[in-house]
Amino acid sequence: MSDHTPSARDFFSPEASDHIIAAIQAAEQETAGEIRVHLEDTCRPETALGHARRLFEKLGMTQTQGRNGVLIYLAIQDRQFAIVGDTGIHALVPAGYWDGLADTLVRHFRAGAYEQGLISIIRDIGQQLALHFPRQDHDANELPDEISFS
Amino acid sequence: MTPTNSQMKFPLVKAFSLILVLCMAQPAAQAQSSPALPKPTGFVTDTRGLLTPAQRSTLDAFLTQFAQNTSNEIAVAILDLPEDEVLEEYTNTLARSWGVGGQEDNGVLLVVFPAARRMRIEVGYGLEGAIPDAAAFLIIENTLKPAFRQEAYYAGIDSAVHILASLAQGEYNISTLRDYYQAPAPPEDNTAGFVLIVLIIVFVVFLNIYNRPGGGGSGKGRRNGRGYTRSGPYDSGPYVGGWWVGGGGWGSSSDSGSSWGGGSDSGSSWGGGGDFGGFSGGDFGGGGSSGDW
Repeated sequence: MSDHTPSARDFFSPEASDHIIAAIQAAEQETAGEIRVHLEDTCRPETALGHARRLFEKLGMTQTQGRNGVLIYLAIQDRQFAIVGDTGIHALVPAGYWDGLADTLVRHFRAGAYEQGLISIIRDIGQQLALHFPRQDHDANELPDEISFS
Repeated sequence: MTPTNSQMKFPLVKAFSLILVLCMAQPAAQAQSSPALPKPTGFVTDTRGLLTPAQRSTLDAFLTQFAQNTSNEIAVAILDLPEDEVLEEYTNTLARSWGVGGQEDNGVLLVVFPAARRMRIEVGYGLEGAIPDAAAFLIIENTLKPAFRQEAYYAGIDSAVHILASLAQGEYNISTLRDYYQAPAPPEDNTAGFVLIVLIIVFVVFLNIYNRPGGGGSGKGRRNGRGYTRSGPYDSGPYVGGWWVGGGGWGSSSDSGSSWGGGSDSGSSWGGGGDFGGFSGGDFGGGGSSGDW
């Protein structure tokens, strides 16, 4: 285990944050869907999955037109994460899609490659979203492109 | 409940007394419960197939271990609500009949009725101090409802069960849970609070009488308990150990998660099989909370 787990806000360096945000923006260039990354120190007493669902509503992510928001949630101290897709995108992705993303993330995270892991699944999610929710001419960016914390 | 089959050689007397007990118990049980009360299949009973087998066994493994470590029992039931049944009566009968909780009535039963979009948390007498009705209400409002509205049943149930476990163990209480949810504390249920409310009402009426043209303007003090409008600091106290979300692998859910800690993971193979010996007792008062989504 880690002896010096940084807090959620310091988890990514400014450079790493920029790279992740750039990946989100690049992905959203191609789609009307929305991707968001949210970090917290802990999700206790909940589990990451349940807590991410609560955040999903709280962050307004159920408000997208196509119900096509995807939230990547990390609880740094618990070393837990959750990838949450709204009903619209979930209905269209192949079976086991989210689990595949989770596997990718675990593989990267175990190796300490947090930034690369996130960017890799952001690209993947972007492709799925672009496939099912291609970008419209008048597409509004429904949610802010940033890593958020609480 | 079901006698264990491992030792069938009762002395005759014992066998007779058992039969006697069963004869006496039978009519009482039947008079109280409706004809076909479902039987528990473990700490998780899902007659609706709402959870995948993997989800069910992950949840069951957590609850089994929790019961072993603490002697508190938390059970989950996903059922249909029979048409002529009143929800609160039905879940209370169910919790008593299943006997969730040990000798000290320290059991909790979370019942979800997906078709009716209703749910209830039944709390045994022994845990009413640790899990007051207000806590059950907060969990329903803040964890179960948002998840269920997104059709993320496992996520909601799993999270709720972990919160209930934290409360039962005293790691959290109603006040820290309220902080966690950032829920406003309700007015105290005492005479001072009552007097205050009466005074406010009198004041508002008084204002209305003196302010005829303005009319209304009294809705300001209202609060409807739904407190998740803002994000802010979370209680991030030091916690020991870790529970595992379990390494993915749950079929058709619209989400996935995992933990990336070192050590054990993924191959959590406690499987959901085996016989379920039944719960060991438990008495349920009217404690708990219910809600719709």
